[in-house]
Amino acid sequence: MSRGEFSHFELLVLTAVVRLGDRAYGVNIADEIEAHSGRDVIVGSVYAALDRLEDKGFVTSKLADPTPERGGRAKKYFRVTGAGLRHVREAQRVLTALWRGVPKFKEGLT
Amino acid sequence: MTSNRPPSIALWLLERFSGNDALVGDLVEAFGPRRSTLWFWKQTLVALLAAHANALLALTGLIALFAIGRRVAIPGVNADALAALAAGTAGSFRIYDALSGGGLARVSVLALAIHPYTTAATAVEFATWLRRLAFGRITASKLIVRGTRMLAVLVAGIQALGLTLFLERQSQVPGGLSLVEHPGWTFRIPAILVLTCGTVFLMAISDRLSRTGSANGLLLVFAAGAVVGLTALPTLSLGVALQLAMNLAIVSITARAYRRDLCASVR
Repeated sequence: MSRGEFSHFELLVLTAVVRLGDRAYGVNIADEIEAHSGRDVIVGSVYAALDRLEDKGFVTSKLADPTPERGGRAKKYFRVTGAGLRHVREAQRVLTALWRGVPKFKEGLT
Repeated sequence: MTSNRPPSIALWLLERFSGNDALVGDLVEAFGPRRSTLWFWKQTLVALLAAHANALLALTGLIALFAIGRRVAIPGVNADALAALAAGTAGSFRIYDALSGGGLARVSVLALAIHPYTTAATAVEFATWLRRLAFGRITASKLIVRGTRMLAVLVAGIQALGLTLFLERQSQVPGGLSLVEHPGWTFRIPAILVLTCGTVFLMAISDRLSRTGSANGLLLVFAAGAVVGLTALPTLSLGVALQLAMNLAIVSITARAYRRDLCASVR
């Protein structure tokens, strides 16, 4: 996979970051994907995907102040970058364009 | 079954080995009435697997490398005589053989394994620690790394020479077989070069793993050698196990300090 491309799961994570805006952090992102996909999401996998997306320049991260309910640990918030947003839109455009041909394909199958 | 506190062992594993404080905080925060202990354990195990996937992959590759490397003997050694000699050895030789991935008994190209590098790193890190303690002076990471590498090559050369001389002087091989076909510098020089290059090759892999991955290369190469060596042992005695554990503890302390210097030297 080249630097500009991303996997299906990375696309889900990036889209969730876009949807959540200022509230995007590990567990929230996992919950968002879980709510829409209906499948269990591992927070560690979300962080692994976020690390890769950050390396590619699609998201940035910022640490907030530590809180007692987190055992004194800081929360790490993620924000989509301009390049990340362009890639999400491009993925949406491609998927939508491809989807237009699907009903014909389905008719052929049935 | 739920409780307000996450399972303590899982939490300890996460804190100790995940290397991601934000992830630990997220899981602690998310763990509440609607999350089970099983959920926390599942999150923990997958997080640890994801965090160390590269290290596990590298370890597998290194084990394969040692398994193959231990079968490639250095030139000029009589394999039958060597097998007869190795079968009759015991004690500390067995331990060193196990640590070198079983390559020492076969005098393979990886017979010296990564030990010259771990020895050099231990000596240099200890010397710089003493210097800091006595004079309050901090040694530059670049100097530590350069010094360690040079010392490692020197140690490898000396150990290789020692090994070749040892092989030449073996007169008690069962069956009266000659261990070295043509003793002398025509055997020693190529053998020393091959053995030293084997260690330098492992050093290069170790450094690359330490710099690019999330793993400690020195520790991984050492561990891979020990794993392959242990499988080559007929039995594992308590003495061997204790000495292995002690070596592993020393190497893990050295490897952690040396990796810090290695990463700092390229910044």
